[in-house]
Amino acid sequence: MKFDKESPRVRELLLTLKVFGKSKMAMISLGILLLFFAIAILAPWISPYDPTETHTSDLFMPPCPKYPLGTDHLGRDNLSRILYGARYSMFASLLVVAVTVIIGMPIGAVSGYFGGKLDEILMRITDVILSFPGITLALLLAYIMGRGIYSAALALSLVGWPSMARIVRGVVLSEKGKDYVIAARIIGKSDFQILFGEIMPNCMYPVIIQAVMMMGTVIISLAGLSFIGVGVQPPEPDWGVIIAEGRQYLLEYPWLSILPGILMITVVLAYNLVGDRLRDALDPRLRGELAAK
Amino acid sequence: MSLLYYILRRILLGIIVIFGVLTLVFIITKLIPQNPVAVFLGTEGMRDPALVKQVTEQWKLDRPIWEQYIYYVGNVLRGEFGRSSWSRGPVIQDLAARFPATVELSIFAFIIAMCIAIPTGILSAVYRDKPVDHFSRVLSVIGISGPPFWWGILFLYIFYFILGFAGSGRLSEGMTPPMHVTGFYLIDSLIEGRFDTFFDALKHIFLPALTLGIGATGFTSRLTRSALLEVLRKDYIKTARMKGLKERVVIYRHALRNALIAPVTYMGLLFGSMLGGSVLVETVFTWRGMGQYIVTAVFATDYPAILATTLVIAIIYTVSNLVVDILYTIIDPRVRVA
Repeated sequence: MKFDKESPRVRELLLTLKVFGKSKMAMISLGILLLFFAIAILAPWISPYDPTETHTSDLFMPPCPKYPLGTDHLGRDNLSRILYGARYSMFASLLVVAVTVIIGMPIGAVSGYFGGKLDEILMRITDVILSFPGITLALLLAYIMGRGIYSAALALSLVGWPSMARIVRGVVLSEKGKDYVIAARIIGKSDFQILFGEIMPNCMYPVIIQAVMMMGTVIISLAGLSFIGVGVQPPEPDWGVIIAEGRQYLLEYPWLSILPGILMITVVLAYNLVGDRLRDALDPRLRGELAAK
Repeated sequence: MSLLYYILRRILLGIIVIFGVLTLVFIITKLIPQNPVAVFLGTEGMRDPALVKQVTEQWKLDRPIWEQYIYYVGNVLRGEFGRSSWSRGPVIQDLAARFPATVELSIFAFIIAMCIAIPTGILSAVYRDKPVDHFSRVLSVIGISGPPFWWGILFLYIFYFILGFAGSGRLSEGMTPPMHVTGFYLIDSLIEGRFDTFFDALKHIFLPALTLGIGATGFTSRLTRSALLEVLRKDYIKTARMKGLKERVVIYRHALRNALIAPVTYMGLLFGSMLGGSVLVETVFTWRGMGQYIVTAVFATDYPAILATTLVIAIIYTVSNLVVDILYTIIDPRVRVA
């Protein structure tokens, strides 16, 4: 596709980016997210130690030149564990949201476009899955698939797709009666071409917003699953695992549990702020107002 | 469309969903990589083919799948969830013992959340862009962004280890629980007239309830703020102001009523989210409720207990959403049109 500055889609994208960039908070948040992704990627090179390596003579060390953030109950380096832990939080959550989109988007699109019995059945399925408080169903599924990061991630995707499907369905429903769809039908385009070629591009923004908004919840849920023991398995250094392990030494060494939580809040907060701003920047009613500011 | 028709339709839909929930859990039982007969009989019992055959037939595991399904639904409707392989008792008894603890915690969490969220949301909207507003918005967004189990640990550290306020569990060590009437310690202790127990239970429920309610608090506070701001822009509010009504009257009498519809709609959903959240929060505070039960069951590979608890939590969640929906249509006639 040729980059055409005058095409309406490109102009819309540029305007959105401009509005997004005007918010300092959103830009800082974006920077924080990039930083954490960089940490996650570079963990093996920037960590001073192997995160599972135990130093039996250095248990519960306070921060010192040898261990910048001290050590835990097995004498493992806290800094290395936290840096490696970023890998699970940053990438597993990305994986979960990606799978959610891959499952939810086509189901929502087909459901909204064809309607009728198919829609009825698919929507009742989403109702059923949404009838479980997310974490309980995820707990059950993750447990059945075997403890570990991949089954926890898959479980959360299986629990998360209905909300994505519903959003896409809503957009498709409101779009399918519009003139451009009717025009496409008149010139003889197939349902498949209309749905995925004409309508779906208009679902991109709501899907992106929902995806960014989901990231925070997914990070928290993943850590929660690890915390109760069905997610990442010790000695692997997930933040949820670190919080769970530190909990037993809370009275004397509260930092073991508290620090990973603060990092998690930072990441989740950044996602939420980026999501909020993105939603505003993509809202046609708000956008003009925000761009003029 | 009449109100009655709407309610009946909604109930029917709820029943369909509950059957869907039952079916999903049934499918999951079939996916479990474990032979229930082997778990029930143990390695000793499995050596006796006659015994294995007897149990398999008794549980209809040799029948076609749809007969198994009917048998399963019948059992669930009769509250027959099998035996917990860990506590050795019937799962339904374990659940009955733990159910009030979770409900008491959720209700209390819900009350705390609403008592904090609605006033701060109102303050935030009334003093928009003032320090109060910034403070409450930052606080609620941070509250939402932190994992609830982590908040629980932090509260335990601050309030228990540093301030010596109250620890985990439902009562202090050495204190006997009140006699079982409702299973809610706060109510039972009052019925029995044991005020020391009442205050002890109150102290113990406060931290877990606050933790469990953090998400709901942040969410409701934000929702109340934006809903009130939206209403305050409406023409009828301008009219009220032009009439010369006091600002207090305009906000509390005219605007608030309409603004609170949005948060109220979400209450059912939030209550349900607390049932889910209780899984983690009860674990942190060793609160002997359904959430802690399911986690204990996970570690004991106790499938009957895990499945039954999931099923019960999902059914409570669905029913509470149903009730809220129906109440809501009675309160707000506009919903019926949509």
